[in-house]
Amino acid sequence: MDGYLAFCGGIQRYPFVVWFTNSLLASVVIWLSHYVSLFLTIGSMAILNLRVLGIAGRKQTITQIADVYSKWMWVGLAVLFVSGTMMAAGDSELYCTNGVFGIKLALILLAAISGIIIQRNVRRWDQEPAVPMGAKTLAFVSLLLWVGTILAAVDIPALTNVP
Amino acid sequence: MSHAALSSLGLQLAEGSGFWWRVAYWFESTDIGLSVGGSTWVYPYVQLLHFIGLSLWFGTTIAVDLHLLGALRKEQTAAQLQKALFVWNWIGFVVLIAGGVLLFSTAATLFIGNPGFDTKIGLLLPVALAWHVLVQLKVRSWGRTMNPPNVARVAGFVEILLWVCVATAATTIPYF
Repeated sequence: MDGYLAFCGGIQRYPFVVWFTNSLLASVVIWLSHYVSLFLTIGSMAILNLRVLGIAGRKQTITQIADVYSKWMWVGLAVLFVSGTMMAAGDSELYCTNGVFGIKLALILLAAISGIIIQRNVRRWDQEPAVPMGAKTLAFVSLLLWVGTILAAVDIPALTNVP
Repeated sequence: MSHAALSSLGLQLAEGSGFWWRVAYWFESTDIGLSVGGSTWVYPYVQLLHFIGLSLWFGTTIAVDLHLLGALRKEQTAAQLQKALFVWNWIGFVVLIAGGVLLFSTAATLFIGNPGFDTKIGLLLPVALAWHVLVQLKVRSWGRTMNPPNVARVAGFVEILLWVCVATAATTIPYF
């Protein structure tokens, strides 16, 4: 445990991490990238999931909606990951031992896996007479996972005083 | 000096922004402001509401803009895409405004004097929103073909730029 904490402490004292943590411009750019990519990724996944559930964009096929978002959803997730890693690196000692942050990471991972499964199956679901119940269940679970991700993110400062 | 007199003095000292400051002071003193700001549990759920609205808004708005820019697969026109996303675009807006108003109620007097907040709400948000409505109206004619005119591409790019500016102003709020 001591070695793990020393490793975490070392991350936030790394010169590059110290530089962008203390730079106002770099901090704003990192936070901005994180927020915009978060909204882009979750918004994209939400619309796709709502389409699978038959609630949004019913005049389009699921494939048409998936094709709109397929590229930008993953661009958003990549930016989200990089900016999030940089934000966590600035306070690595606190984040390494933060349980809510661990829950958030687990939820993002599960939500991203659900996104991959949905995107791989949209063409098959479109060929069926009706969207299978399993697909709808997966879309619903995926929506819950993304909502849970946001909730865990906003709960980190509220419950644990980590910025 | 009594507590009431001290509060009154503090109020007079802090006051100075006139009408909007008094509105903000009233708003944060309402039951809504006090209950949202005073609860460890309610505040994150209000943030969640705001972020869900923002996700729907950004996800649907930027999709149409990217389509106008030619950055999406073209299996449908921009007009068809906008029609499919229109309702969820404005549902997102209503949700983000509801969450935003509740967040504002927790510290309205602090927000009112904040340059980041003032720039976002007083300048960038109205401009971006007006541009968004204009683009939505024009996409019906611009977006009827698979290749929108150049003016549509510029409009889509400007809209993305405007919303990034709004987000930048919002991000700077804690730094002031």
